[in-house]
Amino acid sequence: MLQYVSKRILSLVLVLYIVITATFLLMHAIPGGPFTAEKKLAPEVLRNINARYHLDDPLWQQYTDYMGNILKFDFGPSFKYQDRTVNKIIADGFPVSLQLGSLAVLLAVAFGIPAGIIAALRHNRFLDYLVMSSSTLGISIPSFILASLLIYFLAFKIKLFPAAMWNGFSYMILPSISLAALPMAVIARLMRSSMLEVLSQDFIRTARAKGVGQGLLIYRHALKNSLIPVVTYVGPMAAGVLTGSFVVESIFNIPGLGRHFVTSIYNRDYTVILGITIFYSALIVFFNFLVDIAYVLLDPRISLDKKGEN
Amino acid sequence: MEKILSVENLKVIFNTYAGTVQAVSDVSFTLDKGEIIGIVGESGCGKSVTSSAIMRLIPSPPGQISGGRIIFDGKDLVSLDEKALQSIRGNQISMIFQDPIVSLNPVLTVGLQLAESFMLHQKLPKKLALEKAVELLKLVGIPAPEERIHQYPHQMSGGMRQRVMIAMALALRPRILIADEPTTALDVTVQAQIMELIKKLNTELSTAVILITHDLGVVAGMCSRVLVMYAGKIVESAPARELYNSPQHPYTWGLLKSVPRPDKQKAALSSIPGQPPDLLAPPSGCAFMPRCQFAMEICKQPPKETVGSENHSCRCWLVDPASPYSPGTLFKEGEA
Ligand SMILES: Nc1ncnc2c1ncn2[C@@H]1O[C@H](COP(=O)(O)OP(=O)(O)OP(=O)(O)O)[C@@H](O)[C@H]1O
Ligand SMILES: [Mg+2]
Repeated sequence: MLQYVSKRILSLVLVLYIVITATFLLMHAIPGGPFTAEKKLAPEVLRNINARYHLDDPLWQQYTDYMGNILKFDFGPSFKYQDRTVNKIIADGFPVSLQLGSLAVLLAVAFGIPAGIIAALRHNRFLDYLVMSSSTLGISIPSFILASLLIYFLAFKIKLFPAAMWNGFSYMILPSISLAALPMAVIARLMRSSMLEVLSQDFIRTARAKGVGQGLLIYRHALKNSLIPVVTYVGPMAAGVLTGSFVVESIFNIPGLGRHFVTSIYNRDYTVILGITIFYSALIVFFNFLVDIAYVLLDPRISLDKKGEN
Repeated sequence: MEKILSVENLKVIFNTYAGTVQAVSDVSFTLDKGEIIGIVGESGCGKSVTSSAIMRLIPSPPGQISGGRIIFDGKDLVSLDEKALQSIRGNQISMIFQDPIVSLNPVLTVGLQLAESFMLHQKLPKKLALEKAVELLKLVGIPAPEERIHQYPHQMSGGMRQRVMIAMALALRPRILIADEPTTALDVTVQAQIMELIKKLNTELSTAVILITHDLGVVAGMCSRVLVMYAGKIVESAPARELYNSPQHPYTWGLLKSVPRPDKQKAALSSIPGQPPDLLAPPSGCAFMPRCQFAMEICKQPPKETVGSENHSCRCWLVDPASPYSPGTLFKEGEA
């Protein structure tokens, strides 16, 4: 266990280092900068600004300065929003995206897994076809179309939920459904195929030979075995959904973190780009860690120390 | 002797894309209380399908019991519903499967898999059921059972896993144990131990056993009666000694010739040339005819079952009352 955790931390540091360096270099390789706007600034103003944000320093120095600040968990000031630091942007946006994303992940898992199980049990029958065709829809409809449809029918036509803004639980419903549709569909498919696979195994026949009934057969003998592919998908997916989505947050006008992903790139807001990228990478590494723990809980043949080795 | 199981004209088919596989056709036999019978035959002759049918565990689709009856305890298992079957499976009739490596659930402890039977059929709480599991492991000769019940199958050797399978099958002292090639996956010394164990449990718990194998040597020491299957049919059945001393069917004779016997000095072991027939389109006559060195013109018609002395029955034209030959003399000549 200790060996595993230390390996994980080491790889986290390495991954973050590579991500930061690559993002830093890519950002500076693109022509233009944070203060190249359509309206030209006076040269002396520009010089002042560049000096203030150290954009005149040689690249290697900007890089080492930045690295030094990161070690102090200081991601620097935003170039675009003068009064806000990157830390503040994340601290404001992330809780919103986290709430929304958690609900979406919960929806995806809570409906995707049972749907997949039902499809497997009714293999090649009506319910199976129903689940499979709805999941094909879920996978192929882009979230902005689903969001627009939801707003049109559930907010305007039957005024069930608010159409936009962020003012409490009822505001979370439509955006979280829009976010959940794709992962829900993927989970249902993964669950169905792995359940079918497990149900054809010899140990399932052994359990039936013992007199185990259908319910217990699924719950005790097949579920744990068939969850592994689902968990593999849910980990990284959750990291993505929890950090918010540009499309959904823009459509529903939600002050989450997702919009900053895209706007910061438009704005060449170097520090925000870097800060959010680092944050997202760390979250992915963390969720992969959770996935590894889940593997061990699901399958006693897997041990953490062995996993860390490959 | 009291009869506890009687299989009558059992027919099992598999509906596949290639067509209908006649896996088992017209199989009939009976099992007495406390008896051990053997079913032998080449790979693919329908031994496992017959035993799965008795457990009503034929995967459906594609499989289906398309005819016959399986009478147990005065009830026809073929027409029982799933609920009633669940109370019989593992409780009254249980089964040991061919491959112990894949027949245990890799993510559940051995203890839980053993205890489950008690929890299901005797409604025992988990703690008591686990204590029973420890006793079971002792019964099948696994050392340190208190520790073993907390282990997972992958932490045990193949022989030990098969012992666990046997313990599981015997948990509730079933009246019938079906052992489907219980030792094929194991090495020779373990094989002998497992066979001894089954024999011992048969004597001590008076469990009737259907022992399936393609090894006639194993059958000799254990079974009172032997059924020989070929292409989904029973071609010969007789008390073990009788079958060994005077086989009537050329197929049985061929199988016996391929068993090493210490009492007879033979230069080389022979095997039966050719392949069993395709069960998608079984021949209308005797299925063994293409491989039979004594084949006659009449063998193109299906042979009737002839019952001789000592309950020795055989499906072969050679033993038909009208046949000019006697298998005994023919086989002696063939031996030379
Ligand atoms: N699920 C299935 N689908 C189609 N055919 C099947 C299926 N299961 C069994 N069969 C067919 O039934 C026949 C009998 O198979 P069975 O498993 O009973 O053989 P066996 O005598 O147990 O052989 P072995 O000694 O190899 O275990 C085989 O020809 C096989 O092709
Ligand atoms: Mg078999």
